[in-house]
Amino acid sequence: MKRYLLATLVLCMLSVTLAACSYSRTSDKALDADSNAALLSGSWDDVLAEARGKTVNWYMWGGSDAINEFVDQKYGTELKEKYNITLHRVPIADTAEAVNKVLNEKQAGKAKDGSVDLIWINGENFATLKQADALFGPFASKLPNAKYVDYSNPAVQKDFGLDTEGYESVWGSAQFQFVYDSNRIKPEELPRSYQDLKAWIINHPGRFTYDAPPDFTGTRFVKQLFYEMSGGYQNWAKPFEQQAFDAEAAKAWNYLNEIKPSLWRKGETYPKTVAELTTLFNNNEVDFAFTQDIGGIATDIGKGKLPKSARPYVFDTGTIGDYHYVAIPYDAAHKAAAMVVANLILEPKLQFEKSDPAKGWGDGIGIDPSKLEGVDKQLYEALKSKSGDASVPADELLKHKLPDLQAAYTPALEEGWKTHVLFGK
Amino acid sequence: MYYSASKPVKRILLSLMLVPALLLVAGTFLAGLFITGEQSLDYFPLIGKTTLSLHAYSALFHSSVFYRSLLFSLGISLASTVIAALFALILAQGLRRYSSKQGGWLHFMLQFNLPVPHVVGAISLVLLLGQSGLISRLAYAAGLIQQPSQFPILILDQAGIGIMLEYVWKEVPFIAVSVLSILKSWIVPYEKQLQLLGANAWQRWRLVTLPFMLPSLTASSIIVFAYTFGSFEVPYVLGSVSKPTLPILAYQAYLNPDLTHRSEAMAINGVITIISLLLIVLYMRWGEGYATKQHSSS
Repeated sequence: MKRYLLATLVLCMLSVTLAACSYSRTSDKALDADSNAALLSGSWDDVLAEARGKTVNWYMWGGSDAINEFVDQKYGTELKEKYNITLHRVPIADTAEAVNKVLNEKQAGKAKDGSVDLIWINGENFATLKQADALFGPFASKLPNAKYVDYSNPAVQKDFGLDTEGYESVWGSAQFQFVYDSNRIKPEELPRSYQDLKAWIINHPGRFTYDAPPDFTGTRFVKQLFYEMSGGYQNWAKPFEQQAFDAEAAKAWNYLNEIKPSLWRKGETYPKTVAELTTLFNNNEVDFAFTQDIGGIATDIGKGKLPKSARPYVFDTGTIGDYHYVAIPYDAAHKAAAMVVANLILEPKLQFEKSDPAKGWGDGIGIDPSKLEGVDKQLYEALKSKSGDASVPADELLKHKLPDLQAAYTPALEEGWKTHVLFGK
Repeated sequence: MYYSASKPVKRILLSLMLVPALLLVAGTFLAGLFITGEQSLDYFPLIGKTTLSLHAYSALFHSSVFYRSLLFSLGISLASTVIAALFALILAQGLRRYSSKQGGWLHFMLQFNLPVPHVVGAISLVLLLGQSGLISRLAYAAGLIQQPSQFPILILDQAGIGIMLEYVWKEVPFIAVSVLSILKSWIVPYEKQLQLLGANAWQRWRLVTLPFMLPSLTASSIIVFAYTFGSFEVPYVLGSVSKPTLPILAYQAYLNPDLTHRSEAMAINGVITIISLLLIVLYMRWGEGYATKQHSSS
């Protein structure tokens, strides 16, 4: 027994030394800072030259086949042919996984050759990386295609209320929409506000549920309810304050607890992801699903992921819309190549193809149409005229669009939901 | 030189040869353990936390969600282990009569799911037993149910039935194979001898079969318990969001974008580690250790 103990002790000491070593390995930092600065101050041709032949590890939510396919085939082919860059898409269930990877590398004292080159990111995770000072930049305005982006628009410049400061570059836009089956429900019977929805749920027990926060659309569903219950988003432009928030959020928790007995499985459990919610909808277990795609659901219908009679719509009281971005970690191994990717995805032609349900997945554009000229302008007009039954007209979406809250509200809502609704009464 | 006659020389050579592998395995393992411990004590320089404190643990031990989750995890692991062990015991006894020649396909059937990953088993269960699963659809086609919601809730249920089904399905063969190897080898002469001395079937089972099986049964059961207790993917796929097991609770805290939740995640991992270490101690006492004692005394 003594021998075992001794061996364990020796190994323990060894591992502690190893762990300690990793903390002090920072000598390369100065050298690396130089090459980073060169990337940000040099010409775009230098960036292209350095990017040639590299591989970009792009970490992104992998829950949609349409998105995965578009990224692999459209961007992948274009990057290989034009810039000799290999695109390696790394699918993750939650952006926080990529964020944690970067943070772990930062913690281990790694200053370069990180495993993540590019992250598809949104406000709360962006806030986390900014909190830990783990981002490369400011690079967004360096990109030639940044000329198509309207950075004077606060909705683009600020992500969940946090200034992007060029540490993330816009990719597209999204807006929360409900999805129903026109064979099951007539448009005039649809609930048009959370108040209506409650009545509908109580009249149709077991036919509604939402994906559990912190899944993205689930959080959005709760956030919009919070807006409606607390007198509108205008009241929450101020910085987060727990007391004021708790007082108003209680109304949202009451609402959710009141509908709980009439939810799918009586609210004992919730789908973990929006994909699970869509499955329930397709299996005719519930009557509503959610989508975030501004171009509508034609792509999913075309691929057989939703019934042909499925239709999107928004509440009269509005739904949350916002922009989504890509960011480069501070220690990314192939920053130049990642910048080329971030630039490519802003190309007007590719932006429109991404929005086109037939070619892409119906994601909203990230660029400003008023900045376009010539052929690009025509392409945009052509895209606009395409919207059919399977999408909400762009002007109606815009009319009902609500902005998102500052980043600190999101975790507060997620925690509150867990305490008061999931584990509550 | 390896075949040196001297026992101490042999032993030293052997341990030297093991050093590279041990460094890799134990080094990474212990470093991970060290970082977990450190972060659970609130040491997280990335966000400027450099003082140690026990507040993550004390918050944990004051949280009803944590206790609920701990009991749920322990209950699921215990129930799955006991059920799997019972089935394995019956199965092994039934199969021992067939040599691998006669009952080749039986042995294949017994072992076919050993290489199947747990997560594949879990997803198969969803497709089979979910409310929109294959069996539910067949029931609908047969007119037994009119709506998916009428099918009994076996997946994502509150009692963890789906999770336990997967564990039992996967672990019965594991335990059975290890018990079967004992039953088929050196146990037979003892039973024969006892039979010659006039012992009946029950006596033979009680005095020879069971005592010989017990060490491997206990050892494999402890392994199964420890595995199911620390496993993440099965409860993630098959469990209800309102009934998280400990590993899922840790995962959720780890993924929280607010980095101050990191110490909570690590404290939960700390609790899982301590319970697993206790199980290792039990294993050394009653598992392999017990077997060695039995051998030397017999």
